[in-house]
Amino acid sequence: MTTEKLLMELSSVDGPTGYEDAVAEKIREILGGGERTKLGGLIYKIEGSGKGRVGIFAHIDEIGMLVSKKAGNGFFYLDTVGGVDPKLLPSSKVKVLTKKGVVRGVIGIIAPHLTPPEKKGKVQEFDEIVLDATMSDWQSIEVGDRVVVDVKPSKLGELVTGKALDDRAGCVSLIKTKEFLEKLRYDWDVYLVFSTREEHGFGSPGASSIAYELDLDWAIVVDVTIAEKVEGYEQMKIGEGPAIGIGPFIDKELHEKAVETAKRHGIKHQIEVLPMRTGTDNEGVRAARTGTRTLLISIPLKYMHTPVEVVDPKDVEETARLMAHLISEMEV
Amino acid sequence: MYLKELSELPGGSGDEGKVRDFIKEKIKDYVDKVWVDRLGNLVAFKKGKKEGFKLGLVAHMDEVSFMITAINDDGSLSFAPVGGIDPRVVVGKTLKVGDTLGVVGYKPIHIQREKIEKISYKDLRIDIGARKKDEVKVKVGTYAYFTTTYEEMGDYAIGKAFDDRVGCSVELKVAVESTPVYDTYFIFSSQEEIGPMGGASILMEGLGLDAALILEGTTAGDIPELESYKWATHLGNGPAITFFHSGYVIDERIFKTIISVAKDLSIPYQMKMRTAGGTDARNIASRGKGAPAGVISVPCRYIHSPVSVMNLKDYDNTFKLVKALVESESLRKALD
Repeated sequence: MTTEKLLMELSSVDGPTGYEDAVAEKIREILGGGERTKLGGLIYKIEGSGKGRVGIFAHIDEIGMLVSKKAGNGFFYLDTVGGVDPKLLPSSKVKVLTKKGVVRGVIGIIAPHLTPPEKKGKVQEFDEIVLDATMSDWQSIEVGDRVVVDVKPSKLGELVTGKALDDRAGCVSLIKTKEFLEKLRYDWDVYLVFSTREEHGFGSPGASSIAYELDLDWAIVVDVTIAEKVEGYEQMKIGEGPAIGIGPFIDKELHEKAVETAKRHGIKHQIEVLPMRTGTDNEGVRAARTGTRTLLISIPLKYMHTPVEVVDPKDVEETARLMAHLISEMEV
Repeated sequence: MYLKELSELPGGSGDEGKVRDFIKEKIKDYVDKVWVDRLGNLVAFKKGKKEGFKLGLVAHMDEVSFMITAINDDGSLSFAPVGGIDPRVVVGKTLKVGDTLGVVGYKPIHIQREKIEKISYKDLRIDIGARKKDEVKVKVGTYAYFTTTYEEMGDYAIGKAFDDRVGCSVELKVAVESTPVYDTYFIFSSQEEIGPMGGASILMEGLGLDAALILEGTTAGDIPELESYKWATHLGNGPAITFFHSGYVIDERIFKTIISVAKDLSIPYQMKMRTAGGTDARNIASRGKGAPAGVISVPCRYIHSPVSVMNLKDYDNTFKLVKALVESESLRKALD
């Protein structure tokens, strides 16, 4: 499958934090195998010489919402799971993942004719955002049911846009790493780790539990990074290749090896400076057991946590190529 | 009839060509004559069984849309609304810019350092995947449209542009399925969304109607955010009858006739309880020699946004009511 097709396929699956089954199963189908973990993740092992173990991690969960309150007659109030910006929600189709299956609905916005002038354009918070499921089997909806935005991915010129590319783009890079490794020699046993529960923001239970279990020699965490200008920092840009992280939470030697490897193989790359926490699974994996050396590689992504996240498939491929070469060239 | 096709077609004010061509093709075999006038209104004429009265039905073809106002150095597009669109509805949405797909991205929540109180168009851009200005083939002045797929769920339909493709759809069905008593002009007007002087402003001069019925998709507002006394209409309660809206008090004779026909046929109906917004009734009443007009609407939630919701039973009842009015002498008698 092409990288573009993989991105579209994985963006189309719903897997809000804690409810990632569909994504794990989809990836297992694509890879043709893999073991599910206790916290809902998926591990796919690529045999090496058995002398050492490396894990590469991407999280399969996406931001989502939940039904917080019934307003009666098919209307519901919502709250966020992970960093959902309520500004993105008005005028969206949504899916409610109920125990009886998917119930469709919309988040509407009052027509401008009925909106007082001072309220036009005014940002709504979650307690003002209403899910309208009157057109569906709304009696099946219970408080606590998860809600995701119902949006299909599309091509945007040479790029791909859609929801949940954070971090399905990372998942695709793992799948592609497997393909690149098929053409290379390597000693490491390689574990592709598709972990859960990253977006709720603390402790990385999905990734760190797997890192503990696998007892790795080293690991790479692949996530996405903000491709907008952040004041005081160099801008990570779409189409400029993987962003190789440097900072106190990232192993210095692994960083240097990654940069050397990128240069040696002509892989366009960027250096992302992370002077504090990285806000990814990196920290959780790093703290597994008595410590695991980690490298963070990020795929630049525009409009993070919106239904129209944008990535360049070339960046995803180059991320995979870099990881495959690094694994091949790291000495056991 | 053809509500899905009509909803999904792009047709902003002044860019109604695709909608006009579609309706023309579907209506031509059922009427005596079809033409397009100088301001882009499509008129389909059906001869009546009797002479001496000319009735017009008017639904506007245009939807609210956007127009590209600038191509920026970074390859992004600035845009402005054509018609009344709250900027909140377009954040994080996909738009079709001519034949090119674009997205209205937004600054990630992670780097919103200061609290954002208001969304305004000047802060929004369309991203078509271009990285610099010279990669952009789109020209300024190009229209941009919501991309919503029409769907039916139970008794409801979800889609864009129900204002006023639902009126177009009802009118088309009436043209195809009715036998008018009097000469009837099925008018699909242009440029209603940009204010009171759109395409319909020339209709009276050209056609000299004796009366008109305006068919609309109108605001509902029947949601928990509004107290019920603030609702305009309620989905499922039948066609909404207007007594007054911005710029025109509905002719009482027409208003009462609509209601009496609905009652005679036991068609459910409701009053439109808010007076905000206006329709082409203003143009019929105040241009040329002027003619009395009435307004019958299908209630729609969330109009002027990418996801409007309507009730298909309301659609059927609106069709029945309008067909009955076209096939009876009641409007003419009321105006004698």
